[in-house]
Amino acid sequence: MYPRSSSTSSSSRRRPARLRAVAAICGWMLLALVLIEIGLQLAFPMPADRREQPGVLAQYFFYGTSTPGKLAYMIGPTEATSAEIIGAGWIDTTCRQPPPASPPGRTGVTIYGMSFSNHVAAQLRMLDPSLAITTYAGPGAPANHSYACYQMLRASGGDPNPVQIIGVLASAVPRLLTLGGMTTSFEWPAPFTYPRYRLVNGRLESEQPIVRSPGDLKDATKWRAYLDQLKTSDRFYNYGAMEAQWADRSIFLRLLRRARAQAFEREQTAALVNDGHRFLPNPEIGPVLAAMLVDFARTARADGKLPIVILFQDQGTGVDSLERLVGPALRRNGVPTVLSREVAPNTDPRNFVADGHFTPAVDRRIAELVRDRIDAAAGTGGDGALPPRAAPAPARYSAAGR
Amino acid sequence: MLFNSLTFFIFFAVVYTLYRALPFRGQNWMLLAAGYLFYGWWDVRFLFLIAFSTTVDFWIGALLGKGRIAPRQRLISSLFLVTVAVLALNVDWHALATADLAGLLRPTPIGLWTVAGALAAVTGANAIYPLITRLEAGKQRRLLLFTTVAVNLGFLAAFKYFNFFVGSAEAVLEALHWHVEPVVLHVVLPVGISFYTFQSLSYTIDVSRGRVAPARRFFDFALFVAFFPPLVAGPIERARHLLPQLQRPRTIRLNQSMHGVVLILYGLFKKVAIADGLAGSVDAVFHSTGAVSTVDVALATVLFAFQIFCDFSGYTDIARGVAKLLGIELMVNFNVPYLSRNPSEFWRRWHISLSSWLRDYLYISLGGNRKGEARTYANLMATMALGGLWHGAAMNFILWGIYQGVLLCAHRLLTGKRRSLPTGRAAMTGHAAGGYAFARTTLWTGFSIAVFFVLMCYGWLLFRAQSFEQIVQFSAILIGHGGGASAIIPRPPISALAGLAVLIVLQFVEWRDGRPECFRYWPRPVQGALYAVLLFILAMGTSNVPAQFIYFQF
Repeated sequence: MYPRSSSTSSSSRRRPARLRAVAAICGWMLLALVLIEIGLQLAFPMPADRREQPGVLAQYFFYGTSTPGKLAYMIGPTEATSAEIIGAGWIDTTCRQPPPASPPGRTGVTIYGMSFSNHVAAQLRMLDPSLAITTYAGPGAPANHSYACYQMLRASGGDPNPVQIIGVLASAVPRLLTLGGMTTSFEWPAPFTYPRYRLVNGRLESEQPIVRSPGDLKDATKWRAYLDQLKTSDRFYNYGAMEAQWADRSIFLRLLRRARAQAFEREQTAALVNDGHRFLPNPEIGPVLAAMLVDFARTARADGKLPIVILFQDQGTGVDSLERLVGPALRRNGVPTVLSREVAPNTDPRNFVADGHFTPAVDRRIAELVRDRIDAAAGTGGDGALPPRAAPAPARYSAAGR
Repeated sequence: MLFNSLTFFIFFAVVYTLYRALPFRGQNWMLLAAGYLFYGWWDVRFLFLIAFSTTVDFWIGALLGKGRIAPRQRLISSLFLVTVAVLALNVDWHALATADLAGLLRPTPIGLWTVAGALAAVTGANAIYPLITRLEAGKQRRLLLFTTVAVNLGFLAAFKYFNFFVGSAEAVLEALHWHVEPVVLHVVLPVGISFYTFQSLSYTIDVSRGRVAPARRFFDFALFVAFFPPLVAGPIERARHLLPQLQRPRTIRLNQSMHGVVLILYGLFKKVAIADGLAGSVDAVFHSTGAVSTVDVALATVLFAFQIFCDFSGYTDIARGVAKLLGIELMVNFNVPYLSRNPSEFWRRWHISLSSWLRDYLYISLGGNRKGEARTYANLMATMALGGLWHGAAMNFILWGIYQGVLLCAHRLLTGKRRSLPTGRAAMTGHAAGGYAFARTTLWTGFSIAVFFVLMCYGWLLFRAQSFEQIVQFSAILIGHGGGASAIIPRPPISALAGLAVLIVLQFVEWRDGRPECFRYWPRPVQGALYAVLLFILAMGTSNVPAQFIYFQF
């Protein structure tokens, strides 16, 4: 029988000295950690003015703050002193304002989506000044935001524009399973909310969020009820990110929380939505998205308008996953579709700027495709029965990089 | 089960607790079970390969060393192989997760065939055992060595190289307008197969050379092969170093444990903060289907040099640290390789366990430098080309190996047989006869390191390239053909940049000192501050997307 071997030092007399040495090193390490913590807190504070862009490192160390902690920082006493993102994308406030009437001789275009669609809209304006474009967007908004916004405007009967466009962003598809922009993109959450849609017996049914305006964020009762709603209805709700505010004071703990929150988002996305190459056959994703887009197209046509769908295939979502997800449904229903991947494959980093958006040259190429779809409809007098349009004005800058 | 995952730390916490509670033999059995669990976490089916390799090499080792195997050990090893065949290929372990005990036993055709094969193998081996023991000594030795090499390299050939060689042969035949039906073996490459195969093979060769005594107990040898810290990415341990530590009771010293914890921290810092952080920037260039510039290729290649170093040496550090916590020493696998002045020195500092393996069992077996200059160069080239092939069944690895061979040959040609080179400290201080001489030596050393770093980086381009076409394209871009100046390579995360800065300083300090992890000898406050910095940057790096260790695929 061999003796136990656990922790038998070669010299028991030297053991206390060694233990003291280890304890001393640990003590110095803890002291250094505290000093690093304090030093970084002092060196990289977030700016007092919430509308001021923080420095790169200040923002970096702020990323791990809990979502309520971030909101507490971003929301000022008044709207003017709050961060701009607080007021962005709220359906009840922005989608109640109908587009202005198009001047005579110009074709009105309404574009729903997110920053990607806004960038294309900007290029489209420059490309063809005869188009009067109005955009409705939320930060990284998914199709449920766009669809809800479209429905609200349609119900009010206030959108006279004959061209209706919805942009769908591949990386925003996971947000179909959410009730707002706070449970995804943990690092810089957007507080706006939107309904979540489900298919029940082939019909789209919506669940409205309890929080529906920036003012609701300050209402403790509504906020609590919204958190409870997220727990049950938002597949990306994460307790550590949404509620554990006790760790907000320490940069070190914030770094760990940031990692955990990102890992949670990655795991949920990989398990429920997209494995980085393709969208998973989740009945809460593909069929719901297709149903929204098909309904959008059907109702727009019924109103005598031209529906167009832009599929933005951005990075990290597979080469053509979005087209594979909804392309067949769109083709079956004859919905004019623009595919970003046809002009800008996401495997080529040159198509993207550092923050993950397309380059202006790519936006312009997508805008040209959109204009071609509009021209085709106007020329044939078919889909949407657009009035014939004047020849577009010459482009303001050359199509370099085309 | 990745070293940088929560699962591993839970696993190790359980292993460590049991280890401290158990007596010596119990520790070994528990470590063996832990090794099989650790490996089976990836793919339980491949445990049979390890068990088969273990059983064959135990038998051969015993026969080579003692001329016989104790009946009890024959029985144990035979039963072990059959048991693993049953458990690895006929049990659905996922059923445990759902507590579906009825669905636990799920025989598959391949599983049943494997059990039948294992039974046939052990029956056959036991039947011919008396015949083998009666063979003439020389004939017996040749037969046993042939068997161990055939079994171990046979597994490698089947699982790693079959498709590559058959595909290459098909391509040659197609080029000769001779159409053949493609033959593809649909198998997954077992994780770390090259590591444990080489480790096991070195044992039998060492026994045959009389350098190590054969293991007396089968389970000790099984633990030598399946000891989990170095199991899937090295270091490739030698029996004479690891086996004796497994065969006798171990003492865990506080200093050793402290060193182990520091190594784990250092390894995680390298892997999580730096390697995983750099991966995105490197991949963006090497996976790009669009145009890339000279700046992109050059930067991505340099970053990959640091990525692969931090990834691989990070794994080794964690493996060494974990082993130290168990009172076991593993060999040093990296010793500031990027401060080498020439290829010969580089291969004494990079992946030391593989380069010494290739030297001892391949280069020397081929004749080494004992058969004339021409043969020496041929041996160097053959050894490095095969070393490249060891990394993977792809043309770029072979090219990388050949490139390393060319560098070694060129260095030998230029410097003659002068081999011994001073360590960093000696290089910096050994010529202190005068200020001018010292300055000249320092400058020359710095220049040599810089030049060799560039040469070595080009080797990493060959290593990392996705295809032969990409090697040609990127090489052309590097020399100014087809590239531009504008860069698309994304900036690495802050953790990687901060980590790289700290790493470079530490590497330089280790090189000057000559001792790996020399910071362990620094004053306590400085040590504490350094560990705090490593820990903080590691916390920053936890946000990097975790990636599998690069060397697992080898």
